Amino acid sequence: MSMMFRNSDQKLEKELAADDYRAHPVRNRLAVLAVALTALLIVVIFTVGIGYMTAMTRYMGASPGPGTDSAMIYGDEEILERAKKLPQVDWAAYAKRCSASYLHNQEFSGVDVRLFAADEVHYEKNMVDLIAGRYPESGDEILLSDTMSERLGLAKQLNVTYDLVVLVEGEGEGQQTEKVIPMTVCGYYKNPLRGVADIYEEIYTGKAFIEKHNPGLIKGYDQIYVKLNNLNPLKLGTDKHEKLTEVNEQAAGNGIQYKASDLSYAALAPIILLLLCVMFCGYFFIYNIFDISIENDIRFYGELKTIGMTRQQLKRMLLWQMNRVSLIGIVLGGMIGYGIGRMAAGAVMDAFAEGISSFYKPAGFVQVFALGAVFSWITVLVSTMKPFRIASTISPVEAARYRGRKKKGVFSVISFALSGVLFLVVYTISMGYSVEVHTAEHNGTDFRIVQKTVKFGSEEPYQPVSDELVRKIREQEFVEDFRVTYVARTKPDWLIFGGGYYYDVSRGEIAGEGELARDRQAYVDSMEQKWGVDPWRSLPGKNERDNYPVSVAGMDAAYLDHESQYFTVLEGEFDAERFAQGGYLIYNRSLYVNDMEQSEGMAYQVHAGDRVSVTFFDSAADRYVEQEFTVMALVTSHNIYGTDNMGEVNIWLTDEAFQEIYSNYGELIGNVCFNASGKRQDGTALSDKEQYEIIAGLVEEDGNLQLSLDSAYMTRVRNTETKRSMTAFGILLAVIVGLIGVANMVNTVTTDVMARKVEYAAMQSIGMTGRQMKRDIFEKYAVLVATALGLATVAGAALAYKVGAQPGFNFSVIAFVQALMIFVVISAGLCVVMAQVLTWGMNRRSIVERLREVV
Amino acid sequence: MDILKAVHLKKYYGSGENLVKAVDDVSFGIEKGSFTAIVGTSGSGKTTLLNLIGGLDFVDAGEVIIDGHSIMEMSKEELTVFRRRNIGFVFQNYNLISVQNVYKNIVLPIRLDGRKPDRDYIAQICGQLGIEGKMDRYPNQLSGGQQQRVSIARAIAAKPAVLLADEPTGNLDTRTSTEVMGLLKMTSREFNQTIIMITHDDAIAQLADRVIHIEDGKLVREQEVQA
Repeated sequence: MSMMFRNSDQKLEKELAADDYRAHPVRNRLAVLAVALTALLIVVIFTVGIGYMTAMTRYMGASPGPGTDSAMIYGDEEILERAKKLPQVDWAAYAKRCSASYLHNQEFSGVDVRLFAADEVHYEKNMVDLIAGRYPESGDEILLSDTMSERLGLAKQLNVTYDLVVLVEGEGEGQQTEKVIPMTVCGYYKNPLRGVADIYEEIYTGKAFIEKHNPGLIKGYDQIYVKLNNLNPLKLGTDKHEKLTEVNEQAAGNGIQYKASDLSYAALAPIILLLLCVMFCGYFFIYNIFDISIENDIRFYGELKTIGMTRQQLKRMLLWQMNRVSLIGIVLGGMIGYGIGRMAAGAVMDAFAEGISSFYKPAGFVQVFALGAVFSWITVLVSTMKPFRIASTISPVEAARYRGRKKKGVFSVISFALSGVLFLVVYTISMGYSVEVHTAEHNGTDFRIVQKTVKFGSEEPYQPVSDELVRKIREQEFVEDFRVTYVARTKPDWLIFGGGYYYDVSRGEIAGEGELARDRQAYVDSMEQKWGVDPWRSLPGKNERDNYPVSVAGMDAAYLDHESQYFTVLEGEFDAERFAQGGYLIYNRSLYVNDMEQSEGMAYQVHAGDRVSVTFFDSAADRYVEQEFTVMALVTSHNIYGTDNMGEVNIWLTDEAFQEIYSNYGELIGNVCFNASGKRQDGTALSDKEQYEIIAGLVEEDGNLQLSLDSAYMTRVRNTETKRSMTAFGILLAVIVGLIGVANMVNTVTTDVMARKVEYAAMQSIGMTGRQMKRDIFEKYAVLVATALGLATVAGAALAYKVGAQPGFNFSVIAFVQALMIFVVISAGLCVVMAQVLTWGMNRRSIVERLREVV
Repeated sequence: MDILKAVHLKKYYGSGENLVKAVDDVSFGIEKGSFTAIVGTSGSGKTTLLNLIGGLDFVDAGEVIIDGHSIMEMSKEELTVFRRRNIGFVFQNYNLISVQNVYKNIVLPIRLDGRKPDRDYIAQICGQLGIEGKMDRYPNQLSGGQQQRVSIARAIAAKPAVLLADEPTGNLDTRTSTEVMGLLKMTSREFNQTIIMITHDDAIAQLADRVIHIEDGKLVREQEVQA
């Protein structure tokens, strides 16, 4: 007889699958629910995850030069030509800066608008695609983006005259002046940076503009966008610096700039971990559902094998059922999950990084759904193949006689405990989010006005905090605890960077002799020993005057106690009374925590209690001021939120000592802090909002764009919104995870009891009552549930605490206890209900009928 | 001519002191068209022997040749296909597919093979077995005897070389058992079907043409039954 296979009848497999499917309505409904919930969670994770990644990309800053992902070197046309010839450079494009800084048009407020004169390669490769008019040819024409046209209400009109307020290089070095230059709009382009158009824009003009309007611009520092062809994709852009530096060196450029890698495996890790947890939970859930019918399924498959169904036929039959369940569940869960993900994404993002939600744009439904569907389908496939695998490996006669085995208790406990852990963590973190805790993290006082250039540098010259503003604020009737912190600044304070003048952060200088100077050198030596060459030229080594750059600040001594909460004392102690007496300084060797690790092992050259002589350089008066101090304490900062005022300061002095040293101290206010009493002088109340509006109004009126206003009020407003969103999202997520856990337990209990139904029938036949049966079921599973509860409590508490310790979160004991109580009540309730339902269910068939199932 | 040959079959379970020789070096031949009963007490190895010659279980040693083909040389898939074409099974607990009606149960092996059922032949079988009016019923709507008839119909619908019956009357009352035995005998005669039946009941066994006795995994004696 021929052994040739014939094509099997696939209609038959479908028919058998449909018949078998119809025979398990309860299982199918539960399976659809399980798949739907799993798919829902997976799609939520993808929606939020993808949204988060794209928001981070935009959040990391505007990204000019999209064709090169912002990789550029600085140079002139000669350097451009050299770069083009390098083998690792696909192409290079040139964009000359036409304004020393961003354009100062009032209507551009809040948006960084730059003016460039670019070459054709830039237009083509960096996607500056014309949609109306033409590219600029003369220095009096401009090309605007479509988003800029919308912003200005120009409706893409051509030959319109528009005034640009350009920052022109002045006569003296480091000087800039504003100049209003009328320009004619010659064209519009489709903005490739539409995603960041609310914070960054580019306007193009002809090359002749520079000669005509801004000839003082620093030569040799124009932007050359470079497209590298040797980046390793697996490194996610972390090799950009190295490769770009190579190009810069080979082309003899004047420096590099690039957008730091937005993604790292570390950023993706939590998303992947969460995804795996959900898939794991989903796997258990779906697996448990199909496990209820596993005994019958294997026998069924064994019977089919006996009759002559091959492995492949069996597999196709099973896949048909599985796909049907998956399709319904995935569509349902996926659609709902996408909706939830979109609603929740903002809140989740803000919890990770403040302000990032404004950069969020929802991920496309199709991509998210497709990803979610694939992952969900894989989970279902893995879960449902078990009975098939068992049936296909044992002989037909064993399969046909298969009787279920008792589920291992360990398995059930672990799966339930896992759901419990997720529930406890999600509930605790979301419901326990404390507005006040997070407000206090970011705001040490009710208000703080900071001169930004002191800490961050600027493209524009330093503008001091005005005396008038200080006076006006001090005079407000609700202002109390008013404190000023001075920060030394040495002039000239600019350097050439990025194609123009850059005004550095505020730094003082101390002369190269004395104990403190020796310690500065020791610090520099330790850093160089650790890192070798200093690529950022940021190590505070001796400068051309043989002085050491240090950050020097003068503070109100009474403020020391408040400030001390943000610092760790390494030697000595904080003593506000002694500090106020004068003659003391506090020393923070390194501004960065990780630098302390670098200089570990390199001993301090000064110690608490030492008498030191320090010579300060007062650049305003061009003089040196020598003073003696006792070192009160050596400190290091542990505050990561920027709430402190002295975290970036190396040498802390009293404000009086500072004023003796720095003749222009009035121009060196680094920040002012104060609290608000909430009352007028006559005792009537003032709300937080009213106080905020008064102060914000004064700052705006002052017109100094280098000032920023921090207020506890606004932080509280933002945090309240975040809490609202997190609570909603948290409840939803907790319910879903909890549902999975509950359903898992129900299935586990049901499976086990069903496997023992003959045993129960036998016990009933010799006299076990229904009540006794109920109690027996309850007791057996209460042990499992209690074990799982115990595990979940310990693991959940530890994990919730760990997550709560991360920036943006907090651990609330009350919220955790609430979550635990809910978990306990539901678990206990379920044990009672399940015992009742299962006893009733089994007793629907007579004892004899059940006993007959014994072969 | 022997349609089936068992050659030195062995099936052992366990090892050492716990070694159980379920089938211990059994050899025999079955003539085409004959009705053979294998008789033994509980635990004698008769069911194991049936499963081995039906390819439902794996031998530890020996060979089974059915219609000139050694089933030991076949892969799992080949054996499955061979079984559905050449071996029909009748079980004590019927093993009908509960989600399919009587007709679909009967023609299932044929359809699994991708062939179209011979409706006339099916009708003839069902008529002979007295189940022609039950085609739309489901197994749980039939009595034990009716289910066993359906099982027999399914076993012979594909015109297998051999029909193996494992205690086909085990779950039936006396009267029904007699009816089913009669049907098996009729099947053997009418359709020249080779039948091997195992039973613990000597009286039932006497209805066959030939009885093989098995004890402790060994064949102990044979007898030809006088008509």
